[in-house]
Amino acid sequence: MKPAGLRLLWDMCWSHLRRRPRQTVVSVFGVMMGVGAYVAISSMMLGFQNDFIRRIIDVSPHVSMLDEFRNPPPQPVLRANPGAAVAIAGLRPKQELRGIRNPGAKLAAVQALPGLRAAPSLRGQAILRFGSTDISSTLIGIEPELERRVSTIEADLTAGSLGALKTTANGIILGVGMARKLGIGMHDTLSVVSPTGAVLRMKVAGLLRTGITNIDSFQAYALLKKVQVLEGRPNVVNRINMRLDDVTRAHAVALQIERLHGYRTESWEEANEEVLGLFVVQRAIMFSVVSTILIVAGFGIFNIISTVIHEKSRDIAILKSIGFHERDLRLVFIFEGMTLGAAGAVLGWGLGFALIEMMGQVRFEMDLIATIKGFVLERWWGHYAISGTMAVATATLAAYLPARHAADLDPVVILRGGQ
Amino acid sequence: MSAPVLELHDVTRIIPGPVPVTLVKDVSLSFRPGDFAAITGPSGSGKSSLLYLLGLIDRPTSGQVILQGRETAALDSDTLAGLRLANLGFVFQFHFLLVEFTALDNVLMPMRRLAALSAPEMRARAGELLERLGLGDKLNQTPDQLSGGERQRVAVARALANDPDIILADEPTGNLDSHNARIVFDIFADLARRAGKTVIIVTHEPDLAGEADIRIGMLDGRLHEINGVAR
Repeated sequence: MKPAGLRLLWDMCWSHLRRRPRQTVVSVFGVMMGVGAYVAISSMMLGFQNDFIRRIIDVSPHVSMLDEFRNPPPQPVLRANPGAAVAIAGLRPKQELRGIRNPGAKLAAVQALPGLRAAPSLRGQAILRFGSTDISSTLIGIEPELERRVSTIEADLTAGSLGALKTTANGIILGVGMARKLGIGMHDTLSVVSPTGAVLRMKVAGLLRTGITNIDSFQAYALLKKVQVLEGRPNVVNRINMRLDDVTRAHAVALQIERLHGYRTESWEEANEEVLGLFVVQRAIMFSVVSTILIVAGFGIFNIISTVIHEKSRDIAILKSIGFHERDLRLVFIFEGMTLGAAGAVLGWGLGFALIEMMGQVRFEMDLIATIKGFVLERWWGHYAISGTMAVATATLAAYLPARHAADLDPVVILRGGQ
Repeated sequence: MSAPVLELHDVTRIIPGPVPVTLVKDVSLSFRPGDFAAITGPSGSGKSSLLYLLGLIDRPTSGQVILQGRETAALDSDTLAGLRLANLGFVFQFHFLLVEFTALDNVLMPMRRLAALSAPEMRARAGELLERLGLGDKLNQTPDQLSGGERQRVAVARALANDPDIILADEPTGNLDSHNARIVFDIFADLARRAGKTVIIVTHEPDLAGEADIRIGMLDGRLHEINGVAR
């Protein structure tokens, strides 16, 4: 026998749903909330994440060569006996001067790579002292002409300029957060104390605001030469920062440079691993929250289909006795679930879209790991596709469970009970 | 004499359980085209159970049910459903129409499932059936807009939808007043005598049963008498 026409099954499905408008509306509403929440929240989250990543890419170097090695250098005894079981106790490693050896040559070598610009810097610790306030900061020595080619800090200056580091005697650029904590303004003079005890009076030549709290509250910039002197490490460079024309190649370029020169070389992804890892966790949490909403909606659908089946058990018995297959009846109820899921998904898309547009209107300012002004929203069709698929799948499953029961009903039992 | 369309051979139906219940015991019957049979007996004598077995809705515990020469015990439930759809028409004590659908749509239901005709042909045939049963002006009414007699006639039209050879009815007049009972009963008699269908009715109204050609009396799940002759 031919399978039942879809039109026939749909007519039966629709007749059931039309009979209980209120329950139908409530279950559709449940799905709608789940889908709407998913679309809106994921747009907000993806927007924030992408915005944060964009800022990281703008502000921080795409690739950095550090003055350290990923693995400690092998001991000569290991090199001499490859594959042998060697135990070394009480090892006293050779004291070496920290820093990238022969930075000039390294710089020239990486500069030679296509689509890449590089700048040397020295990062050290320093205490900034202004009046009675002490703040520990990361002091970064840079060469302004080279630095402006690898980072956007010049564009993020709210006052002063990178060039002012050269024109001001002992100039220093502070993050705005740090300046606020110190209570210092442009052209004021503060004391910079290095870990070796050296003290230098420096004058504020610029204020920096990147929007990333880690930079704005903890970093200060000065000329490379000054920092080398202050830290007592003349001619030492401990970092070569690079900027690429194509950010997506960062990881490959980092690997290539590390293989060539041995020094640990990080792409921006690796340097910001913790934050990016946090994003993954964030996405997972959101996904489980929204799944929960949809599962709750699924219970609603399970409930309505079970009620309909219970109520219609006599009709089911009749249809079976006049020759409908078990599969036909199962399909009718599965259709009902799919219909509720699909209707909820479509309405939920509308709700999500409306929420996104509403959130787009809201303006506020907040200092999180980055300074944001209002919601950053990413409108992506994939969110609609994922939420729609999830809604229909959940609803279908929720209908399938009671529908199996409907197909198993024995018409004889029901016909006998009816008399 | 024509070949039997529906036969039972030593059919027994027992509901298993801690205390097994015997519904039908060792029944053998045979029906031919044009037979008009009435099954009678007190409540609980197994009349309806016998009808479910004849109608392939229930399966016997032992014995054979043979529809148009085909042994049905080994058939799967989908095949049985197909046989019911094409060859058997059912009418129950309660009309059992789908209340969301109009009279016409209820009659169309088995036709659409069988899908042997085109949509306009189905509509024409369903309309004609209802017309013949005196419901020509009620095609688009839903069951709750119809009287009890009208509903039962719609149910008869539904049973006839796919032009089955065998009509089975379980107390079809049980809920009707005598006037409507008469109308419905005459329809069944007509189907057997003029259209050559095999019509088997369960009833406990003796005067209606008396008009049938074959009168089957049941008692305690066994055949008690046929046409007044004790078995």
